[in-house]
Amino acid sequence: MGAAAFFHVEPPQDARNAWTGALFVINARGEPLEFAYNRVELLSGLLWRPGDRDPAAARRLAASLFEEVTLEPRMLFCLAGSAAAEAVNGEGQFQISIPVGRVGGAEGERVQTLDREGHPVETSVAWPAPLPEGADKLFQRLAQRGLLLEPFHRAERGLREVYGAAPDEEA
Amino acid sequence: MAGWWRLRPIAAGDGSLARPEAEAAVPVARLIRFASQFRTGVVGHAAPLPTQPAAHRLGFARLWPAHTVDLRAPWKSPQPPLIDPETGEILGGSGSAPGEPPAGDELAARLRAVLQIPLSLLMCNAGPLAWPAPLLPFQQDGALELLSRPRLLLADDMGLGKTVQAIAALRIMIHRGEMVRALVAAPAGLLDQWRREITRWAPELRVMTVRGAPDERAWQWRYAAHVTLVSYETLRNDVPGPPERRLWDLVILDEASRIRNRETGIAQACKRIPRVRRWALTGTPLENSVDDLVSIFDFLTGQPGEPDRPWQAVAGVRARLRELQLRRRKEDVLPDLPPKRVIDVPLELGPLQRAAYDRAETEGLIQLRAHGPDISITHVLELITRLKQVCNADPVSGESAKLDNIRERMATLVEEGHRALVFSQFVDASYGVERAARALASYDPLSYSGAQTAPERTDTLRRFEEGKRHKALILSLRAGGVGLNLQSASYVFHLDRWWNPALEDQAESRAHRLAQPYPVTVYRYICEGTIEERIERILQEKRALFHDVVDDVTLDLQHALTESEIYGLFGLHRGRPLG
Repeated sequence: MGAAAFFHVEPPQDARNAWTGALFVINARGEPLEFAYNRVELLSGLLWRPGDRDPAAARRLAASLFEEVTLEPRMLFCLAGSAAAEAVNGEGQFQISIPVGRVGGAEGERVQTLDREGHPVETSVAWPAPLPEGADKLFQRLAQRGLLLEPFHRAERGLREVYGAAPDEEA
Repeated sequence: MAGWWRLRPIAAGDGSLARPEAEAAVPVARLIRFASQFRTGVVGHAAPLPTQPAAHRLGFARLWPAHTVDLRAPWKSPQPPLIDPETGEILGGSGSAPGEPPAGDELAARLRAVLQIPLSLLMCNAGPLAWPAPLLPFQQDGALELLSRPRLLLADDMGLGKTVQAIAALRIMIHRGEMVRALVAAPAGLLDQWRREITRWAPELRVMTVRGAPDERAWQWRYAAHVTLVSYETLRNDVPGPPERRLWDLVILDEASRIRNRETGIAQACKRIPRVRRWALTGTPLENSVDDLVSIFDFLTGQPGEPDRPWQAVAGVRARLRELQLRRRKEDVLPDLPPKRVIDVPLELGPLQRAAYDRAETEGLIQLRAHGPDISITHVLELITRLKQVCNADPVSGESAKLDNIRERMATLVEEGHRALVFSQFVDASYGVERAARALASYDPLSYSGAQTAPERTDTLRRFEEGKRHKALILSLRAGGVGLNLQSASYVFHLDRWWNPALEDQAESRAHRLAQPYPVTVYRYICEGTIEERIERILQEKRALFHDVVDDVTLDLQHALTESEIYGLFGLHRGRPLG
């Protein structure tokens, strides 16, 4: 049935101005297959326009993570409205040949899924084009099993495991 | 670069890069220096950006090399990290310090743990494991306990789904990559039921039952199954041998009271299996004395090749129980389970049966006294067995007060649409299962006993579950008293009594368990003026012992059965201590 990748970017949590990012690949049962991670620091912070920093960091992370991951996912998910979503919006530098789904935005198909506690929640998934055959089955399976939002939490947890807890979370 | 994405070759900055140069420069997101200026390959805008501020044009950023972790690799360590079921965090360590990632192998192991699907989601009926039926809250708690404790005696009341809890925990561990292979040892009659339950609750797992001739068993042991099923007897026969040649991630003993006697070959074989995790399942960890528990503790805490520990003080046993046991009672966790009503039915023997009984007892006593000082406990037990048989039926006339009573009650309950289980410790045609089957022939009964082969027993259970015309299933207590799910019957008859109240409870729990829609009625017969009345008094005391020890209230070992009490059943006296 193939694998699905979840692209997640965490903004800086401290003064080091470091963005961290993960590409988390799971199968249709939600089993973790591969986890690629990296971080980028934007230097000379004062010279960056505030609105440019998140997209610039996300693009750099995306390029390095896409390059690093060894599996070929059948679809890519990112959280709607996030820097990660903007980096792979199809208009910019990345040409992505698999469907890219934006989860949790105002637009798109309404679907039932689960939160990380296992409670049912409704969310939305927006696709730029109808899903090709095969990919739609994978999507349906992930949706049925509550695996549209929860993997982002795991990716976040993985980043925390690699780079440590944010100071405010430790408090 | 993988085939599912690529970077559009874009020249950054003022457009002075020639296309071939730009294409060579941009595939990776790092700073490049060209024509005395810094540029970056990751810009994200197709057009030149003359108005961008200096930092953006110059790409002032430090990008570390990315890393990837293959999460599919099974645990190489014999003891994977334990996950806190509440928080999902790894127990016994903290995350890496803020800043630099920790060393590779350790980090990879930690990532494999934390990136597994959260237990809350795995337990959820609508979650990734798509359970065939909701796990009840207490079953989820039980599975979480199994997951978090490598050594556990799951001693829930019969009928609460110990098998399902174990399969759920086992499936989750395999799903999370924390385990590759498990061995389940169970009574032979329960192997098919285990297979069916695994097929239902964990359909993706590969299961192998080890049985048959030695050369067949040799490849069956080698087969790469997630779960290997084996009967206790086969395990005993194959140890030393194949089961010892690998470190099992998990060994489960179902109906673990089978190893209560630490001297038996079965108990010793089970303890020789190399194992990381070990779970023992039984609703009756204690059948006769606290000593029963010690052998199970040895399995849970010992290592292969290690000699059994000496007898531990009662206080020590209690402490170990608190440490190793999880036990829930039906009335605590299933308040909605229909009640079980136990009715003791005193019966007066008919004249022919009474005469046969009196004759047997008189002759038996004469024989006992004839032994003089050579009398042994075995002689007394033989007489008890003989008298119990006559209480079931007179072998000469065939008169049986018990079977007459069962027939009368069957007429009513069948009319009301119910079915019944009849238990006897005997199998033969004069007093036991076969005799009862003959007496109840009009109800088209099926028989289930150790005299049948495993496939025959499986077929019997299938026919009883599927064929509603069979109004009764008559089982030998030893073969049918454990593990079976027979909720389609709501009446239980004990044709004869057993020394062991725990076994009787187990037998009744074949019907009184989850998914039983009706109250369960249990009839226990006591023939007046016979050995059965005297046995009943001892059973009451043993029943108190079971609840006291296992449920950890108080314990007075003086209540255990003594040899003098057994002699006392016949007014005999002998002062030797038991055993």
